[in-house]
Amino acid sequence: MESVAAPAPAAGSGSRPVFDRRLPGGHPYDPALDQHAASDTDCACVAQNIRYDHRVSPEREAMFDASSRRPRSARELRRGFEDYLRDNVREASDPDFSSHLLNGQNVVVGGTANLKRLDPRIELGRIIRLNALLHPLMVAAEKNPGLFGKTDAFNSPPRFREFLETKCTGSAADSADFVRRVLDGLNLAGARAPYHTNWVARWDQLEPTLSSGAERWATCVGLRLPDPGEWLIVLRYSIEDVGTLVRPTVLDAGWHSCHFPSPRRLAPEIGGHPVDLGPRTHWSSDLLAEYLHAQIEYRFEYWEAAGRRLQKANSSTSCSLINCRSDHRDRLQSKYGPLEDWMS
Amino acid sequence: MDTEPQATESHEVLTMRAFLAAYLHDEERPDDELVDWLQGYDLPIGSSSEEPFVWLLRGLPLAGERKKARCQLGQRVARLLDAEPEIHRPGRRPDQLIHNLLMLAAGLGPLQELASALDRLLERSALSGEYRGLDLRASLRMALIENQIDARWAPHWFEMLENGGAPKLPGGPSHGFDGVHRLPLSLGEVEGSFTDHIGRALKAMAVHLDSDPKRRPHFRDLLARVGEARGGPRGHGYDLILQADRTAWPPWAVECLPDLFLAVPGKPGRFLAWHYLLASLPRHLDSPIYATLCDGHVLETSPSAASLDLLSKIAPRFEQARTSNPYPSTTSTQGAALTTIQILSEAFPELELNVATLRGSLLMISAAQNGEEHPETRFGQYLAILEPVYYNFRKTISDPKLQIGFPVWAQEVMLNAA
Repeated sequence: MESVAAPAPAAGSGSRPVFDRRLPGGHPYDPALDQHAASDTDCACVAQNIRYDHRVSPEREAMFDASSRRPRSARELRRGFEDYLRDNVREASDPDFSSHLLNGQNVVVGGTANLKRLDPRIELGRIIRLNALLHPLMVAAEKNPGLFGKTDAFNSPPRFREFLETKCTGSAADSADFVRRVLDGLNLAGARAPYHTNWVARWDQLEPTLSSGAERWATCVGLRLPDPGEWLIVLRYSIEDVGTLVRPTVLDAGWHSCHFPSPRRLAPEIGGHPVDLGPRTHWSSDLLAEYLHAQIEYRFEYWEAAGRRLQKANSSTSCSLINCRSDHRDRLQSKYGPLEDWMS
Repeated sequence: MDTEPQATESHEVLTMRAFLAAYLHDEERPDDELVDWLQGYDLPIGSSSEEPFVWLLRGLPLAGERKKARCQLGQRVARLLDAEPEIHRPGRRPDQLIHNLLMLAAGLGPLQELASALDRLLERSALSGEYRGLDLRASLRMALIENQIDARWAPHWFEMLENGGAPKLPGGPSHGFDGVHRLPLSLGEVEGSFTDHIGRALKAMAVHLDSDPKRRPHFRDLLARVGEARGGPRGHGYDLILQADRTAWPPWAVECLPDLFLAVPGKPGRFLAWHYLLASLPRHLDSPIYATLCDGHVLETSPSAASLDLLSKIAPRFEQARTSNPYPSTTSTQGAALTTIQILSEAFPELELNVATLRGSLLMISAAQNGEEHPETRFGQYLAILEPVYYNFRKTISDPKLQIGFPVWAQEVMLNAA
């Protein structure tokens, strides 16, 4: 079992938790969370995450609460999460997760307090779905029409898919040139509009799964592929390249049922653990450690360092969410000991 | 444009399909739901890494019901566009809503209702702002490009192509070309033919690319795209040559055309041929020239049976050399042509290249070298290539009549070579 660092949060008696804290007389979110828990599976899973994610500090909860709307109906709570992710995290000039005041308990390296809880030479791996890059590459092509040549490739998803298919199935040299342009495009788009939710895993843990197909690259980090035939690339860089590295929380994941909080009392440098969406036979022996960092400038060398990996995932992600989450909880228990009533 | 049906559907896609089916099923249903989706609310879980319009397009049914659903959704989108969202700015995230509305229109097009609604939006001239780094007028441009049912927006595309921008829409030559490229293939008589528009657009792109070191590969890409739109890269070769002639493409752009040896439609026995190809015919083979096109780079000819037989055999080598030349200069084409002549003379011993051809080739080479730092060196190299190809080469190049019109340095090189 891993060593633990932070103390367990104080628990009130009787009431149900929100962000793993119990208020006497209940929490204002209780009715909305109850409603979600009784609705479809996805929403029920997110409601469970909100109840038990101790990583959200009281300060960050207050920030979320202040920036979202009332009355706190089930619908408004969900919208609050979606708005917070976009306005305070993903598209914010300074994402809330890098603030020591709001998120100090999850900052691993950097942040406003410039922490160094992990060796900055440790390497990270990132899986990028090229098919999900329509918007940033559209912005880049608008700024620099010569970047990809065919500007009408960005007019619609089917044209973009055809464009990717052409570009990714050329010679090795042509594909490499395309990846270089994609990374340049992301940098160009990022300079116009930031995008801060960059999920990464420890490279030493991720690398063994990369010899499997692209579907596995995605499923091992909990990334769902909505369509078959998506193109994925892998990047490899070190912590010192990212500035701020944090352990993610449910507020950074948004309204997302594949996310699963970390057990209580774990040190932030252990990171989060993505739910493995692949079949059990493909699981690695240990849980992957996942982190989050703000937007960085992507270099072509990151792709080269990851083995110039560009592959198509032939199938979309199909798995039973409930089973995956249940298995994930079992794996957490095997690694860290009994979780008692947490996330049950 | 319809999305290809997918082999397997994920849980999220099936959820979106169910949402959309319920929404489209009830014609009286208010558009609030669509307004929410377009701002990223209430979509399937896990969808937030892509824009909502991508999910709405994913939600269209496959096969049978798809066309109907596309039209129904197009009508709802048109209704929202006519509600003047750029003025009233509905919802919590109006910029996201407008961007997604326009991109959804682009993905659903071309549809008559959308073309009309987009035209009204364009005419109102009230659209401004940006969404996540993208000018909303660029989103409008994309929606217009994908919803062309006639040539009403062609003037905007030509403004971008020829003047680098249009008053109401942002965009440069590449975007203007996209606009023309997506014009409907069958236009009304007053609108001019698709070919006329594309010829003019290609001329503008040739001007735009003129100083680009990769102008030939880039221009060939454009020609290939035009070919795709016309159902094949070669079916429209004759039309393109006429367009190149009519709109005066630069020679390097003419040399990028996919086909420069082809029968003239409607004129039995007549062919269009690249001037280098025709010049390589031996003296005794007849092929009178009836017209010159593209500033003499393409010739209309009526070859005899024997000439046609030989031309048909050697043309593929010329075409291959021409269409695979990646270099921008005129000299590179001449080099490719001359190398082809040399190779062909080995494969076809009956080829007897005539004095006029030789003179023409040498004149062009010397003209291209003129002004270079050491023109005589390169010119000497070409002479060495040509020597084994031509009968009586040394005697011919030492003929004072052949040397008329050459620069002095070239005359000296020829005399030395002789």
